[in-house]
Amino acid sequence: MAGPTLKMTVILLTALVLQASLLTQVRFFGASADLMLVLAVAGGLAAGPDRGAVIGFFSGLLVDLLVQTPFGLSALAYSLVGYLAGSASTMVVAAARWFPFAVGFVGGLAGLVIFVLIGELVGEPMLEMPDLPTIAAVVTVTTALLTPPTRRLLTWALKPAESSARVVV
Amino acid sequence: MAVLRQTSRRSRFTLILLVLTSVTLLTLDLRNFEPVEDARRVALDAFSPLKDVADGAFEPVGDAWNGAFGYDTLKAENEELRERIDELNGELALSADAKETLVDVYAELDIDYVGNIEAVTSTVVYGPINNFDHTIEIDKGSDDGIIEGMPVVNSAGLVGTVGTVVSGGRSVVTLMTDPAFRVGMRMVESDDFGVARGQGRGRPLIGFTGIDAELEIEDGEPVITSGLERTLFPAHVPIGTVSSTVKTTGDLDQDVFVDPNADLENLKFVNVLLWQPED
Repeated sequence: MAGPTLKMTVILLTALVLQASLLTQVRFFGASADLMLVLAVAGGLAAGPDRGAVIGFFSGLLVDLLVQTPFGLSALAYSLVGYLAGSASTMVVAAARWFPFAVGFVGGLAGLVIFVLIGELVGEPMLEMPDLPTIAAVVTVTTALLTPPTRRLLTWALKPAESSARVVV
Repeated sequence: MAVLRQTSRRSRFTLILLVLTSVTLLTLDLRNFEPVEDARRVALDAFSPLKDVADGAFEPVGDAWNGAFGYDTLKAENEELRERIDELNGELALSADAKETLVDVYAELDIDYVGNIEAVTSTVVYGPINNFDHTIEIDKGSDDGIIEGMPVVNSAGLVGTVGTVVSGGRSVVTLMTDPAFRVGMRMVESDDFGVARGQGRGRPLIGFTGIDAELEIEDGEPVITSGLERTLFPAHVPIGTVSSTVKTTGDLDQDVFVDPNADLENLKFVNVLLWQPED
């Protein structure tokens, strides 16, 4: 059975292809969902702050390889979001059903704000974009909606592979 | 009852490590560290075939989505375009005559005319992949003489500029909607100059820098590249048309909003002008 690392690699690459092919065509008011950000948030929820930050880092790094915004910007923003989402998940044991939606919503907004602010710091004029509120609205709502199913997928992917040999007592 | 737990020291250590790595990568990229650019080139080259296959598979979904949610817009656009074709047919005869005269004058004065600049026609391989990406990738690169900074146009006008030459057969084009994009512009009828910059996807460019507030600028006025000394674009490349003007604070200048002629959302083919500014 495939290990968590292999499964996560396949999930990350599949998400990147979906982001680049499908989500560029399916737009809401001109803005698209950010599947790689969803992975960072859901990764934090599914695996805690430690692995959430790592998942966020690699999902951001994959995006950085393909876009012309400064290299490392998405990796930085998404690793912070993965960590924050993971920290939120460790604070409650019995979470309500709406909890992943809420973390998705806040995480989506936090990811965007961190990305834009660090982008401004390194000389990318993102705050000047008039459609920033639309992008923020679309990204937060879609991240909130996509986080719960993605968290379930990542919980499955990060489960350690079962041993093929069973010990009979 | 909710139970609060301490975030482990290990988590914080991992986060610090990842943040430091990201900041290092950012710093290296901002200092134009060549291996970072090489890594991007390799990734883009490797990802493109995968993307092509996925694009083919998801195209019907995109078409269905646009058909379902963009029908009214498409219908209105279609009607507008029909009217515009009629208008343009009328102007065509006049333009042809004016163009011939212009080419003769440029030849006399030894000035580059955009119609005479050698161009490489390229297919757009893929478009912007997220909300903050303002680039497209094309299937021509250094093998065809393309270098960074060359202007990119299509039949309607300016599209952007070559941002990165990925390989012999791939380049990344920065679209003029990028907020960091700047182009020297000239308004054809009011004959004033300015600098236009991008404002993001689907938004008009904003022309600013010293456009006199007293100047009468009509909506619909054509805007072209200025071609002034040390400009990054040859003269007389159509940029778009004026959509509105706004007086700036103090009423000394005015900002001019320019709708690009080129449909940057649906680019299939572009031409890279093999032109470089003179030093």
